[in-house]
Amino acid sequence: MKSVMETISVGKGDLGLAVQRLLDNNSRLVTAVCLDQEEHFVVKYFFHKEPELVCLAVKVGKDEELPGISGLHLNAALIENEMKEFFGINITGIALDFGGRLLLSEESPRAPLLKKRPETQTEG
Amino acid sequence: MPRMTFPFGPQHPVLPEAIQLKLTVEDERVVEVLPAIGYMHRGIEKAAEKNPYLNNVFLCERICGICSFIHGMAYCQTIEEIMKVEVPPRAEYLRVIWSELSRLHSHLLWLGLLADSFGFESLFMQCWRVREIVLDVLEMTTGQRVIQSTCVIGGVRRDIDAEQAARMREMLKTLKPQIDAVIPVFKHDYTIKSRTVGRGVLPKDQAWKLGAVGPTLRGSGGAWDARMTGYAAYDELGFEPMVETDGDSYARTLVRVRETYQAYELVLKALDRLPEGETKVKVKGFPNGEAAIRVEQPRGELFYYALGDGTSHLERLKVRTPTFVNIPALLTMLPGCEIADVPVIVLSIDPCMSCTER
Repeated sequence: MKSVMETISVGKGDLGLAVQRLLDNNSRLVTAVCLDQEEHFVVKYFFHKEPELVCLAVKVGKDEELPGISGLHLNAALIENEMKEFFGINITGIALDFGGRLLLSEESPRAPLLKKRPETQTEG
Repeated sequence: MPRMTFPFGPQHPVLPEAIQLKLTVEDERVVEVLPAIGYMHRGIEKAAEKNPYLNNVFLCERICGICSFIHGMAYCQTIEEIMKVEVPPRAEYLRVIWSELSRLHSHLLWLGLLADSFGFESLFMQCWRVREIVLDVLEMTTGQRVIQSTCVIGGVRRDIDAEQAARMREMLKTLKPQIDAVIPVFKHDYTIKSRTVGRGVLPKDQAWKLGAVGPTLRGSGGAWDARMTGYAAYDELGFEPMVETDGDSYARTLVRVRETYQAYELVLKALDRLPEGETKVKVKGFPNGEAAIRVEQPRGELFYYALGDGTSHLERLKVRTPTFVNIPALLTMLPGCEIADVPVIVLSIDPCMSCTER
């Protein structure tokens, strides 16, 4: 049996509302995946909505802010910290913000999952 | 009451791998917990972008030594879904057999570690002695005790022939009474109950809202197990999740106890029904598109996402492991407990930092 996935595109301004709607329907955040698409990021939030996956896809410019959803769903806090560290995406309002030190150290490369990393990076 | 903050880990006798919890306590009672991870991150998602997609099976198998086979299978299933590969039925059954053997040895390992966490050393050694039989079965059928490396995109690279199947049944026959001998201790022993009942309670609604998975969720009454989606041959073998409702460390232990028996039965059932035929199909071309899949590790739901652009290298591979999403639940279980209970409660989620820090 293959997994079935429904994908819904939402604007970043509507993300909170869309997440709240899913949570009200007893959905569970599975994880979020950040994709570096050169000019912008696409962040995909995967929710478990019995029994399948629902994906909320948000497009966000590289110099734009993305409002965090961990205020609505605490489980998102570690996931958002990870995305911020590994892509340099500017997620705001993270419920438990590790300031870029959840998984990476001071000596680690900056935003290592970006396709083209900032020139100011330091190699670990 | 004055408060004091001190570190639990990253090196601690109960922690096989590195995680630190900053515990704030009032007298002997924990009032606040903050996690610190990142001691051993390996950058596997980045490495997966630099490898040809076929080679990533070997990389993913090395994310975890305990559920190595399941990581390899999850990666293969993700790529198979993108490339619309139909895996032969025999391979699907063999995948169930090796997955459930992995669960069996993982749960026996964990039961031993639980006993060790409160100093029940003889029980710890008995659990690990019993586990050896499962590792012997894995070695006989795959050639490896730890990293089995039998999954490939399109099926499996090894088969279990009639002679091996008969030997396997004999070995499993000797395993059952030995499991029967240790399990009642976990269910009925006064010491174990006194250290686990009512400790680290996670109510059902909290478990779901915090995104808990695996025995951590099922011990709180959440009836979700990724095997319910029917991947591999689980839809044909029939599957019901093991659920307990008390939400404490004892309930999580009972879930694993019941899953140990369930895994044992599933291995035998899959072996009995193993269909004839090919064990793999040849896969040509490169993945073009995306897929997200979930499978059930011993510790809970494992999520893989892959995006391919029609070249030999993936554009993105994301791995979300069960411990990573069980950490928020752990932070909810600990406040209110005594310092002496912290090791047992931490262990009750069966943390795997090797998985968490891919």
